[in-house]
Amino acid sequence: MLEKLLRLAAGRGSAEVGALARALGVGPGQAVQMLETLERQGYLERTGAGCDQPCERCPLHAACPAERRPRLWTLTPKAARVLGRRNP
Amino acid sequence: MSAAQREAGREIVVALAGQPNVGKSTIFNLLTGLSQHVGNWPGKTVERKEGTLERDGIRLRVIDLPGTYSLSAHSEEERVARDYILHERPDVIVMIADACALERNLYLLTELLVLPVPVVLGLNMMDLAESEGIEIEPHVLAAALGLPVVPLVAKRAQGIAELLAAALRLAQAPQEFAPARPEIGAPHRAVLERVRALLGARVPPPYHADWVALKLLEGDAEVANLARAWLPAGAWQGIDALLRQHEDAVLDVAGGRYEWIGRMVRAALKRPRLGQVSLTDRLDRVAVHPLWGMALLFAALALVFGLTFWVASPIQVWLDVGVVVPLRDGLRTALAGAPHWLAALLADGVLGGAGLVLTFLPILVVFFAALALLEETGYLARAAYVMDRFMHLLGLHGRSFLPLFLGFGCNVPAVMGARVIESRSARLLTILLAPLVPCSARLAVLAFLVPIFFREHALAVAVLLVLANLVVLAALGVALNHTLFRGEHAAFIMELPLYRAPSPRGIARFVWNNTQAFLRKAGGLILALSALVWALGYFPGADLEHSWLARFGHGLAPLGALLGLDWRMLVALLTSFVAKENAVATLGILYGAGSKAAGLAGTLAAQVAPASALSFLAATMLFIPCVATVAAMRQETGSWRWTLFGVALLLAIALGAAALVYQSCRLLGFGLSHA
Repeated sequence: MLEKLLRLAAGRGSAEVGALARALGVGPGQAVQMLETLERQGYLERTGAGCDQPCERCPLHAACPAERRPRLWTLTPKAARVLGRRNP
Repeated sequence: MSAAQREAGREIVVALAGQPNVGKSTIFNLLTGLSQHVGNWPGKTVERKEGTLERDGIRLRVIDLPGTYSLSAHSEEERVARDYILHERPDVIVMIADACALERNLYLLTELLVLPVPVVLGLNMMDLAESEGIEIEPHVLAAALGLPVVPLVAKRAQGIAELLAAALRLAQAPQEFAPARPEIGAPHRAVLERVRALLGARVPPPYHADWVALKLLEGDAEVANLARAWLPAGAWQGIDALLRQHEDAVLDVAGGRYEWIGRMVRAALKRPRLGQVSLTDRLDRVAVHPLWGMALLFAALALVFGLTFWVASPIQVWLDVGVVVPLRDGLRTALAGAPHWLAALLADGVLGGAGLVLTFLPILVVFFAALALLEETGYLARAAYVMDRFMHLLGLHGRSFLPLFLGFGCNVPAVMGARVIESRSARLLTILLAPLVPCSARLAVLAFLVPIFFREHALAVAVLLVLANLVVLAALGVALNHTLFRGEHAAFIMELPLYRAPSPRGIARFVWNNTQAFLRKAGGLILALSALVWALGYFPGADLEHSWLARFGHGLAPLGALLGLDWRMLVALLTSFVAKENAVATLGILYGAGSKAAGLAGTLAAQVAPASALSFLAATMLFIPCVATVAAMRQETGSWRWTLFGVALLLAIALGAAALVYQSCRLLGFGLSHA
């Protein structure tokens, strides 16, 4: 199921958790848990907007419209390598 | 004494496991009451809670394990929980799960089931699950799992006695425990067997070879260290080589667990009926739909501009005509005795420039409030997601998405945000494209000027200009991606926030922060530049048409003829390089100086033909970014060459687009006469 999730994500270019969950037939909560598992195992990487500091201390805070930033993951080279190898 | 008691079956050790926030502590308190002991796990900072109770002449010692999502040793809590179960071997584990999030909770159960201790599952918050339309059939789940399942409402102490009875029964008859354990995916079953065979009988108690083999395939570093110490070098090298060869085994180990969870949930859980699907799910069916999502995005964009025009524009016009013009006239009268240049500087330079920009305030307040509303409700993230499909066509790296998203607020963080992209070519592409994202300052200028020139068509013109801007961004992305940069089509996954009711406080804070930042800029940079533009337009004397600024502007006449812009509009465009709002301040000084009661709006509408106005707006939207963004581009690229390339590229695009707009209007005979 994790492989299927990775393949879905890799094939779509960009994917939203709810859509992935529907495609897998699981709830969004479980889809997130699966993404977290893949992140821990080095298949996904969390990505941000270059903001390592808290919003409150950011000089650009006032100009930033994205305080409730969505969580984003990108596929890692390891994911691409493994998917390529497991490709039937 | 307790070991002897345990030996004689008069003491039973119960380990309470579960994820954080499932009501485990409430259940621990209900079970143990006042007989609790709180300390730390030996050598750890993790809290250890233990308590006792008596039932049917048997003493139960209850250990509250730390809340964990799994037992994979990723955190101290996970290590504590799994070490306790492995080394202390409680008689029974009572796992508490949140009935509202059963799927998510069952992962921990999949890990507990491979340990040699029987498990009872307590489903807490059954009342909440029911109210959310989630129907769980505990007896069906119990049959599917092959272990006792007890429904609970811990806050009302419901089901606690049954839970305790089930735990006691299982602890006293562990041989009856025969759960349906998850299997690993087929591609690695044989590998698991080989690892198991290589481990042989060398795994010392309390560890179990099956569990160790599984953890090795999962890539568990702690277990790998233990195995290396237990095994002779040759045997370990064999396992190590196998693990390296099958680094992807975890996809089948954890994947098998998720398959198992899916089966269990399908068996025992009725998902909410269609009418009870969460609000977020229902709204997202439209909001992130490829077609409807885009339509909704245009509607949201139109709403933002519509609100800005209908609510703020009349106030802005009133402020201009009713406040700034009379104030300017009053100031001129008051300074009648002062030197002419001083009166003109204060009245036309200061009040005509920064004063006019201050009339932006209603537009900014309404615009930022509308933007904050979209942000607060969680829609902005959806809008960005819908936009991403479009960006993906450009071959942009998945990581480019957030920086470009930030560009709608301000291009500076958009350029700076590109630093998260590792690939230099993808980073450069993002930096070059970021200034084409219409920032809030440019959108505010648009909101100010469009109603002046296009009145009842203002909304359509504004939306079309923004869309055209995005099309240019896409076209440039495609062009650069196929010429200078080789596009990387890295996929990304996004978790959208839940929709929520907007909080007035959150909106007020967003509006205040942004308006305050604008006022600071208007008070410093715009004021200074207004005075400078005024001085260049006032000296060396005579009138505006013979000023230094006019001489400079007339030098640009050939370009102006091509773009349909007179020298004053060209100068306004150039001053927007310092800050985008300066375009309006400069127009205020150069056009407003001669006006009387009409205010800037009336003067501009009377003197600038719609075709020229459209050309000016197209150029403003695509023009070289403000000086702060250019500085950020230099900092992030580390190269003047790339920075100047970006500036020149945008300059060419802006002037090209303006020329195209004006010349097309001329050919079609559209908007060539003044209002």
